[in-house]
Amino acid sequence: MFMKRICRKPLLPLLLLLVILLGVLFPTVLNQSIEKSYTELDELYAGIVIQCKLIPQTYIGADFALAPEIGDQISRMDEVSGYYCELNCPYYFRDPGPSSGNSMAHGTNDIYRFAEEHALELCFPVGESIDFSGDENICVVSEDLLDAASRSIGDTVTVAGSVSTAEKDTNAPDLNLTIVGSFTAEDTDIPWNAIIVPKACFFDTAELLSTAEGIRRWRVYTAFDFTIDQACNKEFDTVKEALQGIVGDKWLLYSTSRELYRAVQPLEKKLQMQEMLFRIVTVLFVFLPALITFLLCTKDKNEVLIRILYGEKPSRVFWSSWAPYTGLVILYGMLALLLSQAMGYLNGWNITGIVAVSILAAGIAIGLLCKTKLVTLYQSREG
Amino acid sequence: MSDLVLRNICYRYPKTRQMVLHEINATFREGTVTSIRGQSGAGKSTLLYLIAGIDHPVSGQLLWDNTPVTDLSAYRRNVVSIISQSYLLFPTRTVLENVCYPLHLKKHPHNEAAEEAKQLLQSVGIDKKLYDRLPEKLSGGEQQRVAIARCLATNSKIIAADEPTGNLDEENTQIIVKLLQRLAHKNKKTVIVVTHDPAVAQMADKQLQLAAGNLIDE
Ligand SMILES: Nc1ncnc2c1ncn2[C@@H]1O[C@H](COP(=O)(O)OP(=O)(O)O)[C@@H](O)[C@H]1O
Ligand SMILES: [Mg+2]
Repeated sequence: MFMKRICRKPLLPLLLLLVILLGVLFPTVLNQSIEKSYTELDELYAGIVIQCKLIPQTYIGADFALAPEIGDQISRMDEVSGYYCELNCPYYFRDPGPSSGNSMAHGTNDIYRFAEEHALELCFPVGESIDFSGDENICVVSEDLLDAASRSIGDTVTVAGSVSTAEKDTNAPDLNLTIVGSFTAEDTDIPWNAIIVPKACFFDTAELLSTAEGIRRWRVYTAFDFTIDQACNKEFDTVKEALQGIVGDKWLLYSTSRELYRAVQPLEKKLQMQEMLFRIVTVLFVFLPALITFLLCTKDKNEVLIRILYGEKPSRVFWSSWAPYTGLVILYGMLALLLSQAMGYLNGWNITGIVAVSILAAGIAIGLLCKTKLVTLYQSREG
Repeated sequence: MSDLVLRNICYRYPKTRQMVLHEINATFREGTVTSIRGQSGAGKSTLLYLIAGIDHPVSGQLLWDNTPVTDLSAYRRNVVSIISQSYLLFPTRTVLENVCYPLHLKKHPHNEAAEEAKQLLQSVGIDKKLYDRLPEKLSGGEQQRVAIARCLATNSKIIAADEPTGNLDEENTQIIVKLLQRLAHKNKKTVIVVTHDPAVAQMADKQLQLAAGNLIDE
């Protein structure tokens, strides 16, 4: 009987079905576009490299001189994926003989970039590459120095740290370095008698170039820059805070993060809008079906009135009217479930919410009718 | 003989102070049509609500078969039927289903109920081709006849009609009046008709007048 009655006045029931299905469809579509935006955002974040540089705050124009403990702390951070450093200190030859005089030993963790920065032409045996990131005792020297010291690639030289470019430190321990390559240069700030060694020689290798007390002051980075691990780009703000904490207020962290923000901001705004829309739509489509169900049930006023007039108990009228509406809403909910399953985004809570609130609305509408005093209900009858 | 007796009935609507009915006394006899006339606002409908068991009087008693009516649900289920100016048919049930309803309520088997309903509809002159229509597709006169057929299906002894011809033209009014008379005289029902139409009042066996909440014999 109930289904017959529903089919005779199908407008509201169909509207209810439509709204319940839309209540599943809209959040599903929105959710899909939100997920798409998230992947886009992730791709954007991962596709940009943030370059970082440290700039001294206190004396502008002065030499860059970053304490090694600071630089090393930064280079060990998980969020830092690559760093480049340069440092130098005076040295002198023990073998071949001290006649060559004192000069600068330059340390770096990347000989290729070093060559680029200082306009050096690298030359090393064909098919080999030079790795300065490890702690091997190796060096690169100029062709002129090779000639002057009568060495060739593959030979060893013995050097020691120096107190200054003028004064030798005879107590400094020896360091044997294998020459793995040479350089030529036309226009460079690197003198012909300089040696270029891995950074490790300054810190780790027998503490050589830094042992003597007087030399410690040379142990600073003269260049230090780094990039942020792309996977950490999203948390750059916290990374930046941590970095600034490490370097203190004497240093300013300069980064290219602005470029990242400029790229992601429009998408993040869009995402925010989409998420707000998602919430609004979800809530709206819980209450809209409830409202329609309420109206649908209120349409049963005369039905309820006549049944009570004919002596049926209001409680019986209530249960027997509410039950089929509950069934109808659950049926619609199942159809919605099928739809959402077909669309590949099962949102059980959403559907449960829609069904539950609509059933409640039906209960309230019919309950109000059945609880109304009969005279009042009779006087407010329709028709 | 089952009579309906009103004894010192007073009534006022909830949350109002004004008594709408003052000490109403009346007896409605089986097999007769009684009309109640009165100006608009006199309390005719209100009196009929009490007769139809829609509410309890504030004071006074309703006696059916010499026993006071206390369980209004049972009274409505077994004794009285109301006919309204607005017909009051189930809007989403067909003509036949409307008439079958009281029979189903009384647990008549479905086939029998349908047969009986058809006979009742025939007796009030409703054409077969209207059986499966919804009430809204019927004329006012036809709807009121269906309502009367449904009343008959309840087998109730009292028919309380509030302006049953209020929305009908003269021809249909005549048909309904004849039907009500037949119900009283042939089916031995107690028919009480509230009307402001003198022509309708005239056909009653007994005519009462309600003025300012008091019932007067005419
Ligand atoms: N629900 C109600 N609440 C308060 N007063 C009402 C209500 N219904 C009717 N009345 C009042 O009761 C009086 C009688 O109304 P009613 O019985 O409908 O008159 P009639 O049917 O004779 O025109 C009127 O004064 C009306 O204003
Ligand atoms: Mg009235």
